[in-house]
Formats: sequence, C-alpha cells, structure tokens
Amino acid sequence: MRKLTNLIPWITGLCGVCIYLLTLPLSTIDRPRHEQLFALPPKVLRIVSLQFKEVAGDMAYLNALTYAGGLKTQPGTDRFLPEQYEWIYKNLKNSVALDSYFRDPYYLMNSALIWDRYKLTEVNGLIAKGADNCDWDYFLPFYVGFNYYYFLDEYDKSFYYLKEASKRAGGNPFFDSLASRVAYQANKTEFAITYLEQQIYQAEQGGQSSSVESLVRRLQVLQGIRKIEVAVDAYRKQYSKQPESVSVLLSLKLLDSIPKEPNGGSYYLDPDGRVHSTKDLKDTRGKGPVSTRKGASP
Amino acid sequence: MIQAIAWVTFLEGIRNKAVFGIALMAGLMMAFTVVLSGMIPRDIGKVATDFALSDATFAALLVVLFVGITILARDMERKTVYLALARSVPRSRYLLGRFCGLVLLQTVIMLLLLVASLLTLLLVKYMYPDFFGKVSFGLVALAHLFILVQMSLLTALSILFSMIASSSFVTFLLTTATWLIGSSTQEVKQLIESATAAQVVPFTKLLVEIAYYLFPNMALFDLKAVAAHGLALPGATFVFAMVYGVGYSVAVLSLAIILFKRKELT
Repeated sequence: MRKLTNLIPWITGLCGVCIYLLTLPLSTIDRPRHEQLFALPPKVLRIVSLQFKEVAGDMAYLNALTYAGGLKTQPGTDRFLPEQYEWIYKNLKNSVALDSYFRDPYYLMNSALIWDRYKLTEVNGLIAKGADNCDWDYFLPFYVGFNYYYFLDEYDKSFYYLKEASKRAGGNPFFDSLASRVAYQANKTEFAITYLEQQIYQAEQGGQSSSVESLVRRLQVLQGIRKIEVAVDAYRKQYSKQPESVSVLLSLKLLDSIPKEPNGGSYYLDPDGRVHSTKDLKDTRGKGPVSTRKGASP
Repeated sequence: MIQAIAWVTFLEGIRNKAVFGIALMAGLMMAFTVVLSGMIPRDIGKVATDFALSDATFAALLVVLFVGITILARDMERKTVYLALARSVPRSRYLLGRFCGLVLLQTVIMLLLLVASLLTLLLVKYMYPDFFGKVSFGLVALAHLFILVQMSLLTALSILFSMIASSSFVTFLLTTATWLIGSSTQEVKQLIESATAAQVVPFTKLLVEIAYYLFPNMALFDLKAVAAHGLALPGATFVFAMVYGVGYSVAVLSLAIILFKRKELT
C-alpha cells in the first residue's frame, strides 16, 4: 500500500506532462492581423526605449527583416498586401528614428519598398536622410540618386546624390557615368542598365552568386528592351509615327534580330511605342522596373 | 576613516551573491551578442557595440538597485550603523565612506564589464572583419566611463532616498523612477518643444520643464551611438558631462549628509 502511495506523485506528474503536451498547440494565441501588424510611433518609441534606443532600433530592423523574409506574394501578383508593406515601412522608419546612422534599414527600404514602388517619395526621403547622415557610405547616395532619377523624375536631386556617391567612392567611374547621364537627362533604360551593372559587380565582389544570377537576367531583359528602343527611335525619326510592332522594325531592317527574352517571354510594343516584356521584369526576382520611359531618346 | 568604511562597503558588495548573478547575466548577454551579430547583413560591429554597451548599462544599473540599496538598507534595518557611529565616527564621514565604497564596487564591476565588452567586440571583429564598420574601441572605453559616472550619480541619489524613505523597497522605487525619468526627460522635452502650442497644455509644458531641470539628465551619459559609429565627441561635451555628473552627485550627497545628520536613529 505504501509503495502505491509513493507512486501517486509520479502518476500525477505524468498526467500533468501529458495534459501540457496535449494543450501545447493551443498555447500559441493567434492574434488578429491588426494586432500583429501594430508598431509604435517613432516619437513614442524614442521615449520608452530610454537608454536602449540603439538596441530597440536593431530589434525593429530585425523584425522587419525577418518579417519581409517570410512573406509570400499574393496569388496572381508580384506584390504583398498593403498592410504588410506598411508594417515593414513602419518598423524600418522606427529603426532609423532610433539610430539614424544605422545603414542596414536604409538598404532594406531600398530593396523591399522602393522597387515595389511603395511610398516612393517618403521612403526615398528617408534613405536620403540616411545618405546625408552616413557620410562615409557611398551606396546610400547612389541608391537615392538612382531612385530620384528612375522613379521620381527629379533630375537635379539625382545628379546631386550621384555626384556625392562618386565623391565618397573616390571617383567611381560607374557613379560618374550615371551622374553625367542624368545631367543630360539620358534614357532611363540605359540608366537602369548601368545601375544593374554596378549591382552585379557589387554582388560578384561580395560572392553572392544567387543574387548575381537574378540580376544578370534582369540586365539581359533591359538590354533587350534597350536594343528595341533604339530601333523604335529610328523608326519615329524616319516615319514620324509609332511603330506597330517589333516585327515591323525587323522587316525594315531597323533591328537586325529580335533579342531573346531570358525569362522565356517576348518583347512587344504598346500603343505609345513603349517596349515591354510579356514576362514582367519583376518575374526575375519579384522586383524590378516594370516598363520603359515613354518616347525616350538616347 | 573614510577609506576603512569604503573598503568594508566594497568587500560587503563584492561578497553579495547578487553580484555573481548579475555577472553571469552579463556574460550570457555578451555571448548572445556574438550570436546575434551573425544575423545582421552589414553593420555587424555597430549592432555588437549596441548590445555590449546596453548590457554594461543594464548590469551596472542592477548593481546600484540590488546591491547598493541593499547594503544601505541593511545598515539601518540591522542597526549596524550604530557600530560605526558608537566609535565616534562623524555621520558625514560614514556616509561618504559608504558612497566611496559603492563607487569603488561600481568601478571594479565596470572594469570587468569593459574587459568583457572589448573581448566580445574583438571576437566579432575577428569573425566579421569586413563588416566591423567604424566602431571605436577608445570610445567604447569612454562609454564605460560615462556609465560609471551615471551610476555613481544614481548611487548618490539612492543614498539620499534612503535618508527619506522608510523602507528599502521605497528607496528602490524612487531610485528606479529617477533613472527612468532621467533617461527620458530630454526626449519628452524635445517632443513638447516640437509640438505646436495648441497640442500641449501649458501645465504639461511646465511640468516637463520642471522635471527636466530637477531630475538628472541621464541621456547625457549615453555614448552608445557615438562609440558604435565612431562619431566625433567634442571635448566640450565630454567636460560638460563630467562636470555635470560630479556636480550633481556632490550636491545630492551633501543634501543626504544634511538629512543624515538630522535623522533620529532609534
């Protein structure tokens, strides 16, 4: 009898463990989406983080990074939900509000928000502040300059930041080339090609082979578009109207061959004479320019 | 006389088990810093410095709150203060000795934390040499000195509160509240000043102004961003912070001595 009573704590303990294991899946409470995507305003965060602002900024950045890394695009689109972009934006904004010299959030803003055209003016404005603060970094002014030119059509600001990037990089020919093109308001596609060449160079130097592959595909698409654009411009000059299709350019020998689309799609012209790919450039990695500049000439 | 009391206080502090717990926590957090650094793509050195200095601040704060206050409270509660006062030790010297002993304890702990921070950062630098950024080891050491000055100030305040408060728990609450307010008043003041007149009630503005000038500005001793990004620290800022810290501590300690002299010990 005594042996049996000695076993009681063991039996109850075992029962407790079993109940705990059974209820374990229920212990994680699925919070509603609006709760999950809540972020404190930067001014409040600066006060409540006391003397741990930098660490709080690091954590806000890591939150955004891990969240963005785990997101899946919406079915049939290349985009996330607006509230998902907003949450990434708020966290990155908080991160730089807590430590304006921390460069990683600016880089993430550029890759996760700018290329998906989310709040372009605000996000690029934040990156521009980062470029002004981190005066030892030349990639930030380079990104800002590119974004001002390619997405926002603000050539003066673009030129200023690209020259700044070149100055900080000790006269990098890539940046000088871009800056001079902006100064002459050169063609956007060509501008993007130079940008991607720089990105590929950077990725190769960093040994990021997976990034290189997708960037090269994106570059090849743009090179194909650029080749057709040159022929479209020649056609416009000769006939003072828009060409109907890419094959017309080929038949008039303005184009020696139709460039191969690396993603398996094909190039076509819209009624305005803009060159597109049937496979959107975003297909290369989910991000990228979507079309070329209307009526641009080199 | 002061030296003897200071030495006894230091020994009392170093033998306190809480110190070992805090040291263990600090060590674990330093190890976590190394692990976490690997998750950052670019500014690895900066993030490691943030965590190492935050760890040092937190550990030093815990020493003030859980070791310093306990030593002072034990004196009153166990009546050990009579042992010294019965030997005709002036009350002012007794309190100064206690303060010096606690500052000595903080200094030794800060030195250990500095060594741990530097070792952590050297390890991170060794692991990610290309991503260490502009972290300045000199400024990291200076940041530890600033934390020490800040915690000495807080120790002086805890002594003052122990003269007023009836129990160690109240002293603990008052010291914690002072540190919390002192760490945020600068931000609150800036927020109030940036807001339009209609958004802020004049009374709130007055209250914030009073709090800003009454409580010590602890944000002045926070050099994390400066050390992590290798930013320039103007000589005037350094001198001002030191004079401010020492001046505030002397004023608070003087007030504590006045109160201690008038205190009726039963």
